[in-house]
Amino acid sequence: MKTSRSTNRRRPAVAWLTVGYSIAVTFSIIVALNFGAAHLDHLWHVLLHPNDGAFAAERDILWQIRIPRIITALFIGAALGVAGVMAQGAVNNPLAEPAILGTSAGAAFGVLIGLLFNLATIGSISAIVFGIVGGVAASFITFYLSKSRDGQASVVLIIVGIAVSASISAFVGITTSMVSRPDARSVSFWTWGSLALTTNDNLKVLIPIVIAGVVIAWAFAPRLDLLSLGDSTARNIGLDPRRVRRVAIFTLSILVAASVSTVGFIAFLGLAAPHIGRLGFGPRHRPLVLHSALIGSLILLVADTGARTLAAPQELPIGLITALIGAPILILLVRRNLELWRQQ
Amino acid sequence: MAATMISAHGITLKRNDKTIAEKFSIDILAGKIQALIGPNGCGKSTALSAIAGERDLYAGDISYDGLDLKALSIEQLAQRRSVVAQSQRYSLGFKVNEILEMATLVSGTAHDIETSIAALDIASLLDRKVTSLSGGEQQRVSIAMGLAQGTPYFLLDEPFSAQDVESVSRICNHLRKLADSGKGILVVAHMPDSDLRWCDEIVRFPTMPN
Repeated sequence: MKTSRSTNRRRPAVAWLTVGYSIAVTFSIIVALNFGAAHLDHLWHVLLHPNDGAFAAERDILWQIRIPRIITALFIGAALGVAGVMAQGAVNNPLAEPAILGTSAGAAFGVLIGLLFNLATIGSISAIVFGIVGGVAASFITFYLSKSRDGQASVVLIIVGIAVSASISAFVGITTSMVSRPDARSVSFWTWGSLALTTNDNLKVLIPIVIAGVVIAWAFAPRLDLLSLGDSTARNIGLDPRRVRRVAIFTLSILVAASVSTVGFIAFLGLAAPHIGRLGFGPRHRPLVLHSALIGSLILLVADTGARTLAAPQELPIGLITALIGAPILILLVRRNLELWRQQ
Repeated sequence: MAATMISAHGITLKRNDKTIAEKFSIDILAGKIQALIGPNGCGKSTALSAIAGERDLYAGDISYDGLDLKALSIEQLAQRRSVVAQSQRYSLGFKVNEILEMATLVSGTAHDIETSIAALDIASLLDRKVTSLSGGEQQRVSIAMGLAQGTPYFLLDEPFSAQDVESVSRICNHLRKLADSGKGILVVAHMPDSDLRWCDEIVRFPTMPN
């Protein structure tokens, strides 16, 4: 791809917005470090001296529980935000998100199969592989079932996707209700997600996979710009829309699989983050990938901090909090800019 | 020696089992502007999209400079012809200059973009969101997208439907210049013959009996 001649005349404003989001993320990290079921009197000491033997209990809470959880929230948030960009760009539809294309439900089903047949454990590489296979398969089913003579109609795709997701989610729900194995997690884990059980070991798998997914998405993003002109125009210009769509679906399946196999199903973030990003930074997919990652991280970290502190020591389901935070922001922003995405 | 033309030979087209064209032939020659005319709904646009490689043929052959259309990849085709569709929808608010740049993915130079901007008189729109433009302005952007690709052949489907007289004559003059520099141009038109004097040849699309 060529570089833009005048990328963005509003560059200063956009740069300030990026700085603003970054400061908000940093601030949220500091808040998240401070709050939790246990109160840490010597937070800064154990944070800055992780090898010091003093305050060992506080050190372990911080380094074994709180910090892994914060890093998980940042990376999963980024993964879901970018997955949403891939989904909306791939099908040129503002309603698309991993949960609607069937990808999330398929990934959850894949991971669950892996767990029940003892081929994978939560947060492992093999669980992610099962998730990717399930996510790709379910997305493929959605695309296949919504194909008509004249190609892919957006509305049909969304309706079929919702139905495919619902069916697969039902399988996941029925299966988890029937088995009582603790490692298969609870129904609530698969419905609303939870970051409560993430460990440092999970991070060793999660971080590289999410980075890989985001890098592919970033490299590939300019092609999604062209898909917004419609398949036929994209082909005329020299781009195969089906190939672009395949790569986008695969990338979003990787990101969703990494997320679902570590923390379960977190709704809404994949839909909200790209829209919030587009309103601030415009429609170009390459910057949008990075900004949606930032916005996803921010929302999920704030939500998770809320989930573990609002009713401490009880945990609230994180998917409920992301919906509570994300939905009003999304409605407010979209109301102010109804020309966001023109329907065909 | 390979001829420098797009040659459609004896093509038969069907849409939903209805025959739209039977054994239709046309050669789009380098250096010439041809108008393809015929009544509404007779299948001119279908024929144009078939020539562009967008549609399967029921029978017949199409070749680009002697190469079989079916043997050309999406990218190779885009290097040889550009298409201006009858209606281009813009779903996201890209700026006009971003749109023009997207159009030149595999073909088209900065010079091609500049001359298209001048020919379509859209310099003042470059920094505007394409979704905020009027229908006529959007149509000019679509034409500019096609012309900016600088390909040897241009296929335009009713490019003047939302343009005023002045704009039509500016576009025609530019197409004339392009043809004189060796480009081959096919325009699907919906206007009286007297308004098509700037074309080198008028091809009447055969109407199928119902």
